[in-house]
Amino acid sequence: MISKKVCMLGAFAVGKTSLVRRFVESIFSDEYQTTIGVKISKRSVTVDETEVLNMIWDIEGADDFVNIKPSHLRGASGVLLVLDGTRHRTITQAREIKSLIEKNLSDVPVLLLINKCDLKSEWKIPDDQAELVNGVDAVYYTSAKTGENVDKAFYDLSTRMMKL
Amino acid sequence: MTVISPLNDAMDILGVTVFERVDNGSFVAFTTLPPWFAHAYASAMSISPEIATQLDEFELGRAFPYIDNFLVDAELVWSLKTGGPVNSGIWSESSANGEDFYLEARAFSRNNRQFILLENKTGSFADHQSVYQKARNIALANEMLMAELNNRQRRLHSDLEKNFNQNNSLDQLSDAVQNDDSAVMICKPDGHAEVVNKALVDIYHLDDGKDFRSSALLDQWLHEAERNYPEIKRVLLSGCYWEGEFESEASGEHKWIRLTIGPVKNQAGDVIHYLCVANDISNLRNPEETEELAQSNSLTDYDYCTHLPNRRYFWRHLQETISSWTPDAGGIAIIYIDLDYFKRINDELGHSSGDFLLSTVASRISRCVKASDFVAHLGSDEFAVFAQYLESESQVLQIANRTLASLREPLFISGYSYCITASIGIAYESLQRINPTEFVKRADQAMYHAKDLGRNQVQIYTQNLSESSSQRLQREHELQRAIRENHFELHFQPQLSAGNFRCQRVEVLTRWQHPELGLLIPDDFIPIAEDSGLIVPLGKLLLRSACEAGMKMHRSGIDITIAVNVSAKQIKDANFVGDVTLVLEESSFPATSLELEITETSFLKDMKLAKQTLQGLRDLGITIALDDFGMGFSSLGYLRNLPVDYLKIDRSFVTTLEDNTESRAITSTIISLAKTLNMQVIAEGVETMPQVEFLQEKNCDLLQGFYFFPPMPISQFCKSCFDIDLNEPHEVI
Repeated sequence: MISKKVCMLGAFAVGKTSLVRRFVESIFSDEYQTTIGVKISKRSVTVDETEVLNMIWDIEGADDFVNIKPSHLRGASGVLLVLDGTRHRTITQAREIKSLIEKNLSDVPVLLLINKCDLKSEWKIPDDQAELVNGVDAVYYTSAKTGENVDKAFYDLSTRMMKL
Repeated sequence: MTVISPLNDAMDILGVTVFERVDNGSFVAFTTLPPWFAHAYASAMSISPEIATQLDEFELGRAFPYIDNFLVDAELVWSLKTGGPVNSGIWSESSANGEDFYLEARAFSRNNRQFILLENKTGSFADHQSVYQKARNIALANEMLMAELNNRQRRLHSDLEKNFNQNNSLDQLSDAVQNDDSAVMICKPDGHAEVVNKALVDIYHLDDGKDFRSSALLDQWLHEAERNYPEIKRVLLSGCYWEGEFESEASGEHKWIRLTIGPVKNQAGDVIHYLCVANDISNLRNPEETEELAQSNSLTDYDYCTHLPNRRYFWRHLQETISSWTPDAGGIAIIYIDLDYFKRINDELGHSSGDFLLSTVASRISRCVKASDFVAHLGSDEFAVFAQYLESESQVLQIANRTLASLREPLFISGYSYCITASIGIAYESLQRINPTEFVKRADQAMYHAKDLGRNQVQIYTQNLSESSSQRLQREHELQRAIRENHFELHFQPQLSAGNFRCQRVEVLTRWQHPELGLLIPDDFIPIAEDSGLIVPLGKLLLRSACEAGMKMHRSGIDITIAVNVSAKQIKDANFVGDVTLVLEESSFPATSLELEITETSFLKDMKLAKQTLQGLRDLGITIALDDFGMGFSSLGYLRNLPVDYLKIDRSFVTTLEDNTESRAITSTIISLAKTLNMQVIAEGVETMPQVEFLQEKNCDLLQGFYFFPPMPISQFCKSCFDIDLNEPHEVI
């Protein structure tokens, strides 16, 4: 089995922990419980007959009080950058975090997850996903609530990490 | 080695345990092993807690990936004889029975011995988490309220602007806003308040509106906002809209105000009022947060919309860097970027789309520079990049050209594709120390030069540019006078039938007879007229002159249709159809011989209104041509719904027909589309025989360009007309 470190990054309350719980435990709770520090979860997927153990670092969301520690990115093989489709401000925060990723990690796949796609009627982001965050490898519209595209995004990231 | 009680007890009470690193990279416990560690370690290593307590050495890195990552930081501290501590931050681990532990590690060295202290924060975690939970819940609620408030404030501002445009009186406006929740002030440019509403009186604790008339609130706001937004005065002086948040004093009380200010101009383009909408947002800001943010400068240093460093931060960074810069560190450069026609886009598409555009521009610029370059949003549509460690001027030029190319990539706003361009100025220094103010001034002058040369280009500062910066403002003043005194000449360029080269139509183009510079072409003054709002009075003047000239031609027996360009701002004017009717009546020029050329921007924001206006014009008998088709907004969906008779293919496609496959494909598509929609097609900018042949082959209806005739003054045009006999086929010259 090959172990790969995956970082979940994004502004606070975009649904990073919910996405991890959906992927690892197949559960979802509507209640927002803020993450403090880092919680590491594991789930393996099979890519081309090779088992890949995703060590998922669910990292406390960035806000005015807390910055992402660059040391938490060290050794990451892939990043899931999450934004909340119902909050326009999370786009700029995702862009800032993308810059942080570029400064601290080289050549790792970064997938953009536009979360809360079950609330599309309340979305406040432009339709053109290409303009949201530059330089991401793929964009997924996800919902931790319904599970839409969650497994797919993790699987895609695992596949890309294996190609490195 | 383990320490003895009572220190051991004290550490147990504090929830800490200490490990010393030994030579093989493992750790030995320095204290008695607490049960919480035994459980967490046992779970991580798939052993029982009992076995864990009997171990002599622990593989902390293997058991806890978080510690494994932290060991890199720890190694740095351990490399010192006495170093640290360095903190890992909090992370969580679960025991086999599902119990969660919240832990934090610290690494330090003492007398060349290397230690890790682990603290179990589970006991205090609930309180800690609760504080952050509350703070983030509040932040989320505030974020939603702020988003709603911003939208509401912009909507109100926009509604008030519309009311002004519909010539409502100040009394009517005052009645309309009196009970609005947002504070509203309409004042003269000198700050004298003309309208204030109750909400404004409440925010500033004044008994009635009278006090405002002499209290110079506008000056106070400008002064207060300037601390966070040094560019505010310049933005307003240049006739642009501004919005932002700042701390304001109201009868001794400090409040946070979110303010929008927009100028209201008369037809001559002079600012006659400022329209101000304010909201007290003190309650939406956590006082501690405000203090913390103010201390860290993060509030005052970043632009509200793009989150890039603002002008103030840019200046500080520039001054700090330049003060310690020496030529042997490599060259330094400022790349000054000003978006072309941003005001027009902002007006047409609304502020929310404008903000999105600025945010996208910020992202694209950042993408084109090195991580070490400093990108700032100086305000409105101006950005700057400060680059260091440069080897040559050409290296900066490469960055600027890359940025320009990136900005030109199509951008999708509200379902439309749009191309933005920018004028970019470069100041480069590699030989001697330079004053930061002078350095910025040089970049700014180079940027203005790029604008003067027709925009969408990069210019590098040279000594010769220093005189040109004030020329633009001077040109605007001169333009106002030229409109008042009608210093414009009309030139006429025939449009010939592609089948037989008959000429029955002509486009009217204007030239400015400048008292010192001679005859100026539209590219020299239309952008200034557009930016300053002078395009509306200029457009009216030209329409009247064109109709009068057309009537003269008709009376001389030249029965010809004249096409006149109309700006988007004119189309938006509610009185436009009435104005055109009046001009036609007064000049006696037949409406059926008048064609108005509009651009796609005319109907982007309010398709319904534009359609209504165009239909009104058509009902008079006027035909409508859609100018510059193919550039800018390329959505074709609207074409079906608009009363348009002609499509004019943008000249950029026509001039490149011979050597550009894409231009040929686009031109063919436009012609075929027009045929499907029963419209006729005009190709402008025709300069060569192969272009003529291609357009004929594709069934283009009308041709216009220097290959046939240049734009000509009326006398020359009439003479040419009589010479060639408009009703007979014309031979190509």
